[in-house]
Amino acid sequence: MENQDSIFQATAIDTMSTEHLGSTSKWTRFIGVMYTIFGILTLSTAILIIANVDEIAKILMQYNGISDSAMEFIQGAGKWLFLLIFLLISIVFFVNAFYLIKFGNSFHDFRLRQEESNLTKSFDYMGKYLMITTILSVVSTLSAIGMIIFSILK
Amino acid sequence: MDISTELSNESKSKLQTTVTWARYAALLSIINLGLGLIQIIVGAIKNDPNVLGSVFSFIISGVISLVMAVNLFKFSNLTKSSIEQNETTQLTQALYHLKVYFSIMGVLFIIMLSLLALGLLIFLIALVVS
Repeated sequence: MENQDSIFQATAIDTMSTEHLGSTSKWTRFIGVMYTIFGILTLSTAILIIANVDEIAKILMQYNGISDSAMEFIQGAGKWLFLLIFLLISIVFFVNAFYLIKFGNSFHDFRLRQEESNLTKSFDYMGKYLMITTILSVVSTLSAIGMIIFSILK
Repeated sequence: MDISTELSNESKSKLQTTVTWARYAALLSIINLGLGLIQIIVGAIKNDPNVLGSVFSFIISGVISLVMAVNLFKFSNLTKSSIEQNETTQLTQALYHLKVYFSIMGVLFIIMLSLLALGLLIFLIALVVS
């Protein structure tokens, strides 16, 4: 009797929780696929721009009038800096997608086989996804503070 | 048939880590909202001509961010207390809030995709007409 009571008192994933996690995993898979598509689009846009940087710089020069030093920067270090930024953005997309899809897949495995280890894995992936979200939020906070300071000093 | 899977200590530990990050993410989301408000106030003081547009977009994004942050907070608090008190009902409620958080995110993606598709359609029609 005492043993039964302790089982009932333990934290458990019941049918309702499984349903909630099932819906969550469907959404995370969808969002993960979207992140993957955005990552591919970001990367291909960067590659296309880098491949045609001379033409783009010439058009910009015609419309806006770029100085020679700015033109040199765009065709030299600026090009690689641009690629680096876009590469970082696409990496963020891919890493987010990886953890979200992995969460969905691990939970799907748990539902199929009822192995608790899959549930542990899914919680681990969710934790890592939220960790990245937090890091990105810190970057967003810092840039917002920077923009406020810039607006005040302007 | 009601099937329950008891959480192992490892699962609880992973869930506790998840909950900690969820709390930080929710907190930062609210801080960012506050910073957005400060940006608008600074813009208004400096007579920024785009301030009205900023207020409009801030209200929409602010409400969505706030609802998402509240759900993440509730997920975090309920999961933490369910682990501490060995209570399943609270964990079920917590997971409901996690579901709502990702549902909102998914719906936002669908809206964004629809707008992108609409924009592309308008662009193609304009291209054909011209």
